[in-house]
Amino acid sequence: MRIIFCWLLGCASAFGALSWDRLPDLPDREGFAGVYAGIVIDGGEDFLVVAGGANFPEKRPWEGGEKVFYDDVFILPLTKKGEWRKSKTKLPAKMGYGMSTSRDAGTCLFMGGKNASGAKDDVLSVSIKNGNVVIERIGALPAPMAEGVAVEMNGEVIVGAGGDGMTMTKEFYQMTLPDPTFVEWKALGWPEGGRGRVYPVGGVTGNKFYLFGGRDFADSDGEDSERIFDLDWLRDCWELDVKQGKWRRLRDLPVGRSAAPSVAVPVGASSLLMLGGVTVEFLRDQVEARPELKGQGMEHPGFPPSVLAYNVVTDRWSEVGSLPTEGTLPPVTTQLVFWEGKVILPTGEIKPGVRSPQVLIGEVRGTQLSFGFVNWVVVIAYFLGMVAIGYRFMMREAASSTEAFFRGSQRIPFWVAGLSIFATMLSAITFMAVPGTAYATNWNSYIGQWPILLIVPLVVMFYLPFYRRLNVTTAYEYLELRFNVATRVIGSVIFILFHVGRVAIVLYLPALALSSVTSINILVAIGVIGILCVIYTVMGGIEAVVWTDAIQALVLIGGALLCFGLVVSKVEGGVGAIALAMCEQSKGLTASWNPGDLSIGRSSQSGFVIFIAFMFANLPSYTSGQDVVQRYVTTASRKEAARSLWMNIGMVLVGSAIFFGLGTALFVFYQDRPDLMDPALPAKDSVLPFFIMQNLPVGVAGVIIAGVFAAAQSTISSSLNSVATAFTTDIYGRLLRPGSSDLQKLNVAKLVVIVLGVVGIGASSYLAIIKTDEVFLLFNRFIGFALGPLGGLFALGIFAKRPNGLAGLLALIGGVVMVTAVHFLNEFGIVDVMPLLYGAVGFLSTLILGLIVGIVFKAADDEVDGLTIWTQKNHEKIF
Amino acid sequence: MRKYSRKELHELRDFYRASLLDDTLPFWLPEIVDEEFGGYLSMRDRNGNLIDDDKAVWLQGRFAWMMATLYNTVEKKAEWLETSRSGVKFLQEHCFDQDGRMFFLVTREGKALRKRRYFYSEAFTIMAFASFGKASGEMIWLERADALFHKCLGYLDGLVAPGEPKWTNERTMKGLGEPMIFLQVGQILRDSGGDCSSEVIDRLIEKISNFVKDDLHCVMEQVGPNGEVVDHIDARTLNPGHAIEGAWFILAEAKRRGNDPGLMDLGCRMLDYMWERGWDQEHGGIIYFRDVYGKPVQEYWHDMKFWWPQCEAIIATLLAYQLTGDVKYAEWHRMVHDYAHRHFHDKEFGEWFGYLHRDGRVSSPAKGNHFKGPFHLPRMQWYCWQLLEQE
Repeated sequence: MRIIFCWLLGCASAFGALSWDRLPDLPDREGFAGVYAGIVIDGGEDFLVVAGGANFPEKRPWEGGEKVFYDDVFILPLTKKGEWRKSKTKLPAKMGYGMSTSRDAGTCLFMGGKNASGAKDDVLSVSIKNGNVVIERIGALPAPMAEGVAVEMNGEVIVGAGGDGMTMTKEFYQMTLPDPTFVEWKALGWPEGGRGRVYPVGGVTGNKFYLFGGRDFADSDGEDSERIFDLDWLRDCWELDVKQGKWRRLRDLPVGRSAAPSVAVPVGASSLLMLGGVTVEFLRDQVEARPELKGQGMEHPGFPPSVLAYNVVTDRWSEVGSLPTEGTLPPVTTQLVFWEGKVILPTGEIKPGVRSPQVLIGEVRGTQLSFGFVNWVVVIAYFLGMVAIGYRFMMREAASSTEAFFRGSQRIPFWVAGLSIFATMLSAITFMAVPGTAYATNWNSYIGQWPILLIVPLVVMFYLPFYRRLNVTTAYEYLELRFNVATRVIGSVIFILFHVGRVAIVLYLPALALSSVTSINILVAIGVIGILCVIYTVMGGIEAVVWTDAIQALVLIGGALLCFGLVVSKVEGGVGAIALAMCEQSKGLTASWNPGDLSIGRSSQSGFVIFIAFMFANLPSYTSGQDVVQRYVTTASRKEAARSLWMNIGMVLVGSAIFFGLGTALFVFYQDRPDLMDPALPAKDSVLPFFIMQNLPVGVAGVIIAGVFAAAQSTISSSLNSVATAFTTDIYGRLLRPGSSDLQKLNVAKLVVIVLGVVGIGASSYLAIIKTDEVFLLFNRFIGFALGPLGGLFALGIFAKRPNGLAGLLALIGGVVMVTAVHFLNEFGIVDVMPLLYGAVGFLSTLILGLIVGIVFKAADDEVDGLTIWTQKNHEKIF
Repeated sequence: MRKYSRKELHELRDFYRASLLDDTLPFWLPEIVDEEFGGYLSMRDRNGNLIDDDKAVWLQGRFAWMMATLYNTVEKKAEWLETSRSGVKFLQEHCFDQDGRMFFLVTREGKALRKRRYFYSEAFTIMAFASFGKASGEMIWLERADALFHKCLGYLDGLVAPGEPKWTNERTMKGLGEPMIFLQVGQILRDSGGDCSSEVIDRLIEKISNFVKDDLHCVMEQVGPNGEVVDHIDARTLNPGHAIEGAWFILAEAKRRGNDPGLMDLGCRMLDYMWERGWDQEHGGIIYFRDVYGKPVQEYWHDMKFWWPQCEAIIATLLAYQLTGDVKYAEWHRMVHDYAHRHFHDKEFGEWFGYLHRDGRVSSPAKGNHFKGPFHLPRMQWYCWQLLEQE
């Protein structure tokens, strides 16, 4: 008696990177090989359509059975978990072994194929209308073709390989649909030196097309070890950059493989899975066991179940589990179908000449490493330490006045302020993203750290004197003095809005990265980071913030160093191997320093442009961001403040080099040990926490994860306190309640910290629940448009004598309009500017506009007395 | 004994047509359709008042089939098609369980109440889907009918279990009901353009013939795995009306195949044996249960007169008469036709009573319940009318 296969009812079993289950069997005794299959949508419901194919209905091939082709079309309602039914609609001919792909619009394409009378060139569009299957021929392939591959990539169909039975199709084609009823093809070429092939596997990840294995007629090029039945099994694999039209050879498969379900499954951020398939060694074993049947027969054990993963970052193959072998057998020569993040393997050949009506459905499973008790103890101890610091400063003074709460009574040592600036500028996601970037790409973003060499001298020489001498609490007070109250309030509001959005993101991203690879629940992570941060910020004010920042900076750098050391010790060749990878595998600095190449487009590789872009992206933070500027006024003197900035240069250059080095080390490590890499790793940012959890001893892992929390908290606590400072000083104390007492202001500041904290935690949890941060990133991006102009406004004030308040205001608005305009021109493809340059666009356009408008709207000399570098004569001189 | 004259046959034809269109259907339509939730509210008392708003799944399928069939064969009446659509939609949307099996009883809104191990809900649903698919031209219903039919064949062949068995394996038995109902389902599916080959029909008839015992002159309701009579009280129980229904399914197949002699013989034997067993010599009518050896029957409603065995006997005798011309069948038809219309027809409110005592007194005045509804009676009226149209 057969079991009834219920719909995903708990009979799932675990097999490596994928967990498998069954859908209802196809209502056919035998099943088919070489079916067409896809997902079709009708009335908002998804249906699996499986059609055509061939089997041996009466006798097996070794009993002299005849292969029969079919034109039947079967439909399974997926959304409603219904039953299979056989459509009254048929394919135009009895055929199989074609190429299929599902389209976003809810139709699928069945292309090419063959039957006893030869190969086909039909392109059939399959849809379901009011429950009825409709199959229309919308065009033809460039040539008759079967046993190839088809994939969909960004809505475009790519089809190729295979052959017409006589010759191989050594070409891939991209389909263009001038109108939905007419098909045209664009040739994408064929890898140079690559042999033609049938039954390869095609895949798409990261906007590139991949071609793996397959088989060809025996040829003098073939290796003997990969030859059987006058066919050569192929090991070579290729990558096609469709945009640039370039093929690149990748690492070979461990052994030749063909006939695996025709599409590779993209998992995580950078892996493609090949599900099963046939190898020569396996076939030889079968022939040896049953020479009289050439390896066929009912005693055949079924095809190899192993699942191989190709990692596009490390360019390595590894075996990552297997297809299920209990109750079902691994299918070959069948069409793989993607549906709702799952993969479906309908029917297929399970032994030579034997089909199965089975329908498998698999879901990618990430590895979740248990965080464990000891690690939690370490993290909790760390958190308690942070809260204790907050408590200590509260007891000391912080709770008593705004002076203490906002400026720490100006008694912070320079080195603490320096560490604090470093920690504030480096968010938790940077801690994970920088190694992630170096792991996945190269060191080019390190160039982004170099402008600190120019920024610090600029700030120390031209900005610091004003902030110190004018004895401001917020940077925006300067704007009122130099321009007018409107610029001050606008500047302050821009800053506040940006940080309101930022708190949510800064909480969400590290929590997401952590929860994706560890057993830490994302909401718990958000809650723990957020709540404790609010507590010590409210209690201890700026002093608690900068002291915890300093500790957090040390934990961060220490953690990164520890990881780096550990990876180096595990990698054969140590630092040398890492250096080698940087040189030979383009993992180091690959940017171009050719002064002739100053492209500002999105794909620019110019080191100069990257440098300029980062220069103006970061300068506003150091000159007009309250979270950093506030540090300048917490030290005892201007000299101390300057020293903290000088110290920051070293921190930034060395600290980030450690992070980049760590990323490269991780690359080398996982290239060495591809088997240790989880193919389902969701994003490059997860590689560091994954490595930590996988390889660091219990407790040590806790310290590093505490470092991740630390990085998040140092950024958030700075945001909380600086927003409270800006709101209380620039909005509440200036506009709403100008005459309010210090105690009132202090209470408002604490309230702002709490409200902002709660809103941030709430928004962040909301992101975690809806699982997308697009809206927030959009919000932050648009607010971010104003940061460059704000930096430009400060520069205008300090470096220009002429422009008055109105000029400043107009320049600020003009700058924002400019950035927004460039952004939209970029979106619509009218210009091509890397978004990183928006900071420079805003900064410079505000500055230039201000200078121009300033010719008309002039400030009187006494209005700018002591407020520009040209009007310092009665005051402390800069030079 | 005398045969029917042409005039009598014409009168009969007109009678069946009139009783279907002017008596039976007006009793049910249009109130039976649940305008709010779809499907049919078929549980009615004598004068048509609703006595229960639950929905018997069998009846949803049966009436949807009846309506679509009238649309296909009698007149393209939009009301019939839409009434049928209401039923098939309700079946599709509310009457299937997660495992693909169907329920037996659901609430008015379509929430499941009861599911039974045997799969008659499926049978009537296939009939409904197939005939509605043909009527509406919407192929999806035919495809659904095909899929469900082939699934049921799997249950029938013992390849798949439709549910947990209630009996141990100590004494396995098989029933006449399943092959019989699916014979008719297969015929309807085939004639609606669905996927049912004559091999499948032959296989089902083969199964039915295992229940026909020429030595005992009877059709068993249940037999052992090898077709043997099982000498226990429940297994000895015969259901003459049911066997007679099976007889006309086979006669109908014989007629469709150009009066296939083998099938005519089988159908007539079944009818002959069970008429003898079922006809109440004392009060008339087909009696409900008999024991194969004349021993006492377990069920105490054994001697009641249900409406449907009379309906089936009316069809079977008329069809047998038409196929063979044997005057015996004309006489039997006259007997059961007269008896049934005299005792079962509700002259005051129309339609038929369902349950009479042996002597013809009304037992329950319900016109619809979990089992009775607009099916056997209108089917008989429609079938006989159509049969006589060909005279």
